[in-house]
Amino acid sequence: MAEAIEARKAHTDGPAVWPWKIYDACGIWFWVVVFALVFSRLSPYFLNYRNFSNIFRQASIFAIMATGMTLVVISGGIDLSVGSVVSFTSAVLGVVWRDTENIYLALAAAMAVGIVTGIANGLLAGYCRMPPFIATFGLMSAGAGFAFALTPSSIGDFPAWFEKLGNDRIRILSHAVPVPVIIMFAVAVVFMLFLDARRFGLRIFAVGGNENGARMAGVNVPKLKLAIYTINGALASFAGIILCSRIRSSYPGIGLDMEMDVIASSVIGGASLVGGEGRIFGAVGGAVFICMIQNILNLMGVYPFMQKIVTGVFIVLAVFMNEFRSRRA
Amino acid sequence: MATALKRILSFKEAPIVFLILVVALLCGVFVPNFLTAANLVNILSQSATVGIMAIGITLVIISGSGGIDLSAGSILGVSSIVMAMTIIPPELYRDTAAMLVLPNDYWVIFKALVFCMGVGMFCGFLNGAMVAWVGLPPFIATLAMMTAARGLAAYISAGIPTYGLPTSLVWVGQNSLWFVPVPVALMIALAVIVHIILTRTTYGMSLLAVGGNRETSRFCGMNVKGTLISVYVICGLFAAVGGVILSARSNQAHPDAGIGYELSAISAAVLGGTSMMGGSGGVLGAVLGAVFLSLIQNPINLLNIPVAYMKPIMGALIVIAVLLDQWRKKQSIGD
Repeated sequence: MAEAIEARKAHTDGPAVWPWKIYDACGIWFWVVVFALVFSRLSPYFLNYRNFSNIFRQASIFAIMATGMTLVVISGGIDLSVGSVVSFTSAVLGVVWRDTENIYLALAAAMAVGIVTGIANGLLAGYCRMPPFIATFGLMSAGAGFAFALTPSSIGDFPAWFEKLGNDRIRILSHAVPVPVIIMFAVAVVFMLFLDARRFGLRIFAVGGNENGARMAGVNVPKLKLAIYTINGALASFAGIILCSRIRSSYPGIGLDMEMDVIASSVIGGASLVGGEGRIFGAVGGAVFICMIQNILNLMGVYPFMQKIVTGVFIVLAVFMNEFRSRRA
Repeated sequence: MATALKRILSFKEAPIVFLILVVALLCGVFVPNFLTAANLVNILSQSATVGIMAIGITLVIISGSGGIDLSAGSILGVSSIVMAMTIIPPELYRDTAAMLVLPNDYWVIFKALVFCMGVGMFCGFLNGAMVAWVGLPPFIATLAMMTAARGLAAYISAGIPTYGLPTSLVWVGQNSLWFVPVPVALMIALAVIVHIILTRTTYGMSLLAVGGNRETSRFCGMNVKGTLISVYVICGLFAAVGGVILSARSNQAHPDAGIGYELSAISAAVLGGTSMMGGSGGVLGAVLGAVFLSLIQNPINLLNIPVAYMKPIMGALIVIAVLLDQWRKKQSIGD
C-alpha cells in the first residue's frame, strides 16, 4: 500500500526540479495568487480582507460540493444531479420546518434527500452499470421537478442559531472568519486525508484509472461507486443546508445550473474527466478562482451579459493551464 | 420465436421504437384527444428542433473520448438572435415589441440565414479547435462555449426578444408540405442524409473508427483532428438550423431560446441507442428519441398534470429507456 502511494506521488509530482515542484504542488492556487495580484491593479476595492472573506464565503458552497464531485470525477464518473439536490434539499428543509416547526427533523429530512439521491445514483451507475451522465441526468430532472412540486415559494423564519451557521464569523488570529469557510476547509481536509492516505481513496484512483484492472485486483467496483455517489449526494445536501442558512430562506430553484460551476471547479482544480486524476484542495481553489473572477467583474461594473462571456473564457484558460502542467509531468 | 426476438433486438433503435409504441398505446387508451391527427402532427413538429440538434450531437458523441456538446442550446440562442437582427433593423426592435409586418426581401433573408449558420459553424469550430488542437476535455470546452455564447446572445440583443419575422420565414416553421409540417420534413430529410453519410461514406466510417479507438485510427493514417473539428462544426450548424426552425415556429428570436435543449438532445441521442463511450450510434435513433421526449410531454399537457411533475416523469422514463437498451445489448451479445 505504501509503495502504491509513493508511486502515485511520483506520478503526480512530475520532474524533481524545485521551481516546477512548487508550481505543481500549488496547482490552481498559483494562478489564484497571480490573478489576485493582477486584479488588484484593476480595482482598489479588490485586494483586502473584507472582500476576500466574501469571495471565500461565496466559494465555500461550491467548494463543499466540488469536494464530493472530485471523488466522483476521479472514479471516472460525473454527477449532474447535485444542483437539483441542492434545490430539493432547500425545498424539503423549508417545507418540513414550516409544517412541523422542528428544525432538527427538517435538517434530517434535508440530509436524507442527498443521501437517497446519492444511493439512487450509485445503484444506477454502479450496479446497473449505466453511463453516469445519463443516470444522474435522470435524477437531475426528477429533483428539479420535485422541488417545485413540493413548494413553489420561498420559506423563511428559521431559528436564529440555524441562521448563524451561514452568517456568523469566528475570530481566528484576530481575523473574523466566516463559519462556512471554516466548514469548507474542514470538509476539504477530511476528504484529502481520506483520498491520499486511505485504502478507500486509493481504490477510487484505481477504479478511475482502469476499472477492469481494479475489478480484477479485487476492488468491489459497484460498492465503491455506491459509496462515492452517496458521499457526493450527502455533501450536496450539506452545502444546500448551509446555503439556506446563509440566505435565511429556502427556495426550490436555488440550485439551478449549480452543477456546471461545481464540475468546472473540480476540473479547474486538476481533476480529469477521463478519471484517475484529481485533487481536493485543487477543487477548492477552482471554486475560489471562479468566484474571484465573478467578484472582480462585479467590482469593475462589467455588464452582466458580458460577465458570462468572460467567465467562459477564464474557465477555458484555467483548464488549459492545468493541462499544461499534467502533460509536462 | 427466440431467433426472431434476437433479430429485432440486434437493431439499436429497437428499445426506443418499443417505448414509443407502448407510450402511444397507453395514451391512446387513457388520454382523451390524444389519438387525433392534429395532436400527433403537433407532437412531431414539437420534436423537430430538439431532433435536428440531436442529429448533430449524436455525431459528437460518436466521436468518442467523452465527446459531448453542451453548447448546442446556447449556439441556437445566439444564431437565431443574429438571424433576427440581420432581418429586423435595430431601430425597430429596440423600442417596440409589437408585431411588425416586414416585406419578404429574399436577399435579406438569404443573408440572415447565411449569417445565422455561419455563427453556428464558427462557434462549433471554436469548440472543435479547443478539443482537437488544444486538447481540452469536450465537457469543459463546450461548457465554456455554453456560457460564452449565451452571454453573447444576451449582449448583442441587450436581452430583448425580437418579434415579427417576415412571412416567408415563418412559413418554414408553421406551414405544411401536403400534410407534413415543414420542420418535420426538414428533420426527416436531414436525418436520412446524415444517416447515409454515416453508414455509407468514407467520412462516416472514419468517424466511427475515430470514436471507437482514436489511437488506432491515427496510426492507420486517418485525419483524426480534422474529423473531430468537422463533427463539432456540423453540430454547431445543426444547432443553428434548429434555431431557424424554433424562431420561425414562434415568430420571434429570444436570447434565452434553447436553454436546456442540449440536455434534451443528448438524452434523445442516448435514448436512440448511441453509446456515451463513443464509436457506435445512429442518427435515426436520435430523431426517434426526440419524438419520444415530446411524446411523453404531450399527455402531461393534455391531462393538466402540473409542470413540476413533468420533469420527474421524463427523468424516470429516460432511465428506463437506457436500462432497456442495456438489456438489449446483453441479449444480442449473449451468444
